[in-house]
Amino acid sequence: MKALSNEPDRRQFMAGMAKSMLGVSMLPAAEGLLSSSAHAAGVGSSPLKQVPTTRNVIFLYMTGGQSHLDTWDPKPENKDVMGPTKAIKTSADGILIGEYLPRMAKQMHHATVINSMATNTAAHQQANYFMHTSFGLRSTITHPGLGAWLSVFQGAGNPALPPYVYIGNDSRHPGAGFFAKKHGPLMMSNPEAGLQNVRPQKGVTEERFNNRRDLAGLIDNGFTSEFATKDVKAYGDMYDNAVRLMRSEDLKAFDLSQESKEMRAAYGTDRFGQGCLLARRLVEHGVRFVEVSLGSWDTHTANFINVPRMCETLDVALSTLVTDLERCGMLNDTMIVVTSEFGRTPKINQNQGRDHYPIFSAVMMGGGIKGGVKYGATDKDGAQVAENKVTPPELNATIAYGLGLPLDQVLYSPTKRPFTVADKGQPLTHLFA
Amino acid sequence: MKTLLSLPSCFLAIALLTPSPAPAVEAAKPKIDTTRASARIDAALARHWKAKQITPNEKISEEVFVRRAYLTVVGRIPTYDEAQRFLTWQAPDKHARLIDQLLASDGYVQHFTNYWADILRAKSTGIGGNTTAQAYLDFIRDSLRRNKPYNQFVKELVTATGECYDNGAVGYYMRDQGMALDNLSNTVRIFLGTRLECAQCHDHPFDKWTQMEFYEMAAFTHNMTGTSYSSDALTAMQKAVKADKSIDKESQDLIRKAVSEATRPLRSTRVVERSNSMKLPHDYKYTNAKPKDVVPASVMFGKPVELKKGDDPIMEFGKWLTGPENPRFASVIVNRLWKQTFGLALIEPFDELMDNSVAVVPELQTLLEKQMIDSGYDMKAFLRVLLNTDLFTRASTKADLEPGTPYHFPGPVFRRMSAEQIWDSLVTLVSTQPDQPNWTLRETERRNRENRKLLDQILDATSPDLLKSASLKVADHMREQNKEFDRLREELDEARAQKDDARAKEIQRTLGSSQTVLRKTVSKSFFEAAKNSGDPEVTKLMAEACQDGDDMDMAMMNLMQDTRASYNDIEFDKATRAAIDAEMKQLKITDPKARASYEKYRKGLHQTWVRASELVSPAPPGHFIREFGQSDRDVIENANYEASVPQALTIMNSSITAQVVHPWSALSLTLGRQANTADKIDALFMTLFTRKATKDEKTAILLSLDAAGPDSKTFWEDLTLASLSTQQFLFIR
Repeated sequence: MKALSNEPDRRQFMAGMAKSMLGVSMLPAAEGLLSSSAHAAGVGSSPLKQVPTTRNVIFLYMTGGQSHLDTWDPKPENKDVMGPTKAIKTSADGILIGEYLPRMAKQMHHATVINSMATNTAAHQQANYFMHTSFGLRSTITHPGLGAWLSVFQGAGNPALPPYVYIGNDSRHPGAGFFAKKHGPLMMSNPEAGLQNVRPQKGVTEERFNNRRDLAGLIDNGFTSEFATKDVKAYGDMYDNAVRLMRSEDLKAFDLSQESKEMRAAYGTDRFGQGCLLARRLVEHGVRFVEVSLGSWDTHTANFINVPRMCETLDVALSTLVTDLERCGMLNDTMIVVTSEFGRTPKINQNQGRDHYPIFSAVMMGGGIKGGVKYGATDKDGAQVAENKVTPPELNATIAYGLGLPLDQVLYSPTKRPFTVADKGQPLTHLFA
Repeated sequence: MKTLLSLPSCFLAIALLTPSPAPAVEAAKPKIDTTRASARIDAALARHWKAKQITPNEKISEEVFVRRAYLTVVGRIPTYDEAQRFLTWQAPDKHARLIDQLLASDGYVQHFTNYWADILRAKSTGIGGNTTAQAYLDFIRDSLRRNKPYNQFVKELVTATGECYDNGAVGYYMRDQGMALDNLSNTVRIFLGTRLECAQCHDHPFDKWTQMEFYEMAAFTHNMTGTSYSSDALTAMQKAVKADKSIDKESQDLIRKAVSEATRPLRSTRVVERSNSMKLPHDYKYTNAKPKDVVPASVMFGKPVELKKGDDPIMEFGKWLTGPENPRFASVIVNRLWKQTFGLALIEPFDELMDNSVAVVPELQTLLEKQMIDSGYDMKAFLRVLLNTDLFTRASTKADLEPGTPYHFPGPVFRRMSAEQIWDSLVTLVSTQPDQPNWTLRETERRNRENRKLLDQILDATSPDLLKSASLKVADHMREQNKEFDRLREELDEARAQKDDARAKEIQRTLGSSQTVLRKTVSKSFFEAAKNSGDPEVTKLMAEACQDGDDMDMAMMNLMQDTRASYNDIEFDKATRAAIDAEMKQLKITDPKARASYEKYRKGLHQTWVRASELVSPAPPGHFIREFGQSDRDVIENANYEASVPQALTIMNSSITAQVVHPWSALSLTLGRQANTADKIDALFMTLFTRKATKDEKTAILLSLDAAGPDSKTFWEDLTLASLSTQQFLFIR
């Protein structure tokens, strides 16, 4: 979308204006101003840089806390922990996963499985926020999601489309955080609904639509010349860009009906499956960061009925996404990440459920990540990290490193607080092939 | 109900329906003389202009004035009738009288509720329990309706304790549950315009505040704790269960779960003040104290506060914060209201005050602070003074404000409407009663609050023994349910193996309803316990719960679940009835079926086409209001005014703006009353832009109408949508 990318300086300008208009002295940093001065905030962040290994990220978020034991980190030796869940072999030597993911078992040669994820809280909102932003939830500031950092550093992949899309239902998604709104995700709850309002109202022909635009120009002529301010011009551009988008070929990116029936069925007909298909289309059209969420995995009750059900959806969509990206030759420059806010207790509770637990797993595929690798481990109960603990900032730093983002570049919030992407997490460079 | 439409000759006058939680209580008589106070402001500005050699902007027309006054005070454009009435009004003091009427209206409450909700981050849902969240918003609404003095309003917020159903102000601390230090940073920023969040973790890099000073301040507030229902009886019961050796470990777990189910609706409903001492963080790195040292409470500026034995720290803090000796308390509020009125504060940003902050017109800053204090922190009286200034009748500045250049207020600042102002203005085009309350939502919230309160009281009055027997019953139920889960899982495996999708779905459905079944058991068991107590107090409460003749089971469930009010319960009041009849007459709706359908449409409007502050607030992501930049209320004043393509698409193409040209919309009714085409064009312009069409515009439009053909049904739709998709609709001149 043009206006999203074509007027980069408005908020910055407004912020600058507000600060400098009057008495208060101008302080050195405002939003968007890159500071190269060595500030305490940057200390400890990784100076590592590389040629990016991936252009795109498809981030699959398992809302509610996915049981690591029944999915990516089974303990076949330990019946007490596993309950009725069995482990199965996969296409990667030495990697076992839960039996509810049979299709993914055939794709694990593409994957690095991190079994040693550890977060710092077992409360949904806090842990979800930590995973998305690498920062603790505060009530004085909202930190940006990873896609927003990508947009700030590198702009939109396709200026006609939003830089970042979120497909799911989480109204608490941190989005652009303290960055300008244009860096935030376009939120889509229904992947099949397409982009909203890109067609004229019912019964409005092309001719009438054009007539409306002409009349609007006529009526607004006096006003726009009397008030020729930047804001008024920005709104003029906004209408022009909207009309351009309505006529743009890029709109097809959002149109799932362009896909064959077989392809749509292969991803699964549920929202998550169709969301993954949409993610592939968006990435093809230049949207570089797409998140799709699936939930809820919050299986306090009847874990062994609910997890298989959720896994079925995940297994169908994810295995198709991997093979589809491979088929289009896009798996090399598209990184798929599957993770959650936390895992579930090894102890099965009195309602045959599993409760919140700060240890969990993540899976990474494509975009330069090694295939068929297991990184880190939990102990025999899946209760403690036994080796190579990985925190959400480290996972995010690894993704950012793959995208070639500068991990040590300090950016300032409008409140002049200094931040770096992934909050000083160290990237796991050895996961890259 | 008082509405702003108590002006003469308006048939839209009375809101649909009424039970206002509190009567509008105006200050008996403002403590400051408006005329004199406004004149002093203008005089101070005139001196400033002279010294800086500034020529003020020209005076505005009556059309611009009435539009600006409505948008500034009630947050929406005037309706066609309201604008006409003002423009033809002959009273010499009509400006002042309009301002009085607007300030006294519900529109003021609705508009300023948005403003304060953004500052206080109040949300209808998702803060602790929704009950508390809604009570918090109601507290804000009610305080504005009563025109509660600002210092009292703030003191009530920062000292709030108790249950949300008795004191909605507890939302202030519940909002930051578990984040007491962030809460203090927010308090100091909102009310004292001072940024402390840096000093939470280290000495402030740009300002003088130290981490020690932060912790000294936090020592006053850190004990304010958001918590959930608890009672002595519950604690005693849990103790007894623990001591009872005949209850095995599994049952103990189940009992704990049963209690948590029964009290779930009362989660995050109360704030208490604890009495722990404040300690420095474990990584405190300065030499003036050691990590984890206890820090005594002390204020960072203004009049020192010494806590004596028996003093309540939070009350002392509240007094200090809002007291006349606190130099920044009045500074901030006058800048807030000045900025709301004129578009920019005298000190920008006013929530980042430092010792060397200077207002652009220092004399004016001093004067405004004095007027605020003299008025007794009367926000309406203060706004009235600002709205009656000469400055408010001057044109806004037609050029961009240059960064780095002070703005000397030759007129108000030209700006885009807020997201809420845009939405609320659309509401005036669709609904003939734009300020009507969302009765259904308010009533639903009220009933839920009442029900939670009853539940709280009933649990309070039940003895430990009876609580125990209820918990045991629920535990038994859970045990049975687990057995069923086992059975269902086996069946599910079997169904899957046989690819019997229908059976598998059926099992999933059964499973899905298990939670509801459990809740029913919980409510039934606990209420039976209450009933068996025989306590007359409980019997009375139970009767209250069933007063609508509901059966007992249902009533009990209601106390635990969310209830829903239905708009079918509403009776139109007399004036609304008359208005609807007049509308139907104009629309020639006579057949009973069509009448019923119109009445249904009219009732429906009160849930959808109402002011932003009458909807779930903030609106959900993707809603029109959010698209135009409504704050998510996660952080303070987070609204934005950026243009975006989805905004343009929404105005041009959405089903929302299509409602404006619906044959029953307020705009269509207005256009339908016009005698001829020229009048119709004027009426359209008056409704959307609060001005008549110019001669040139009229000529061009008539030409276009000729081309479309005189009978064109679509022409007026096209002209209306074209008028909506202009910049002049969105900006306040």
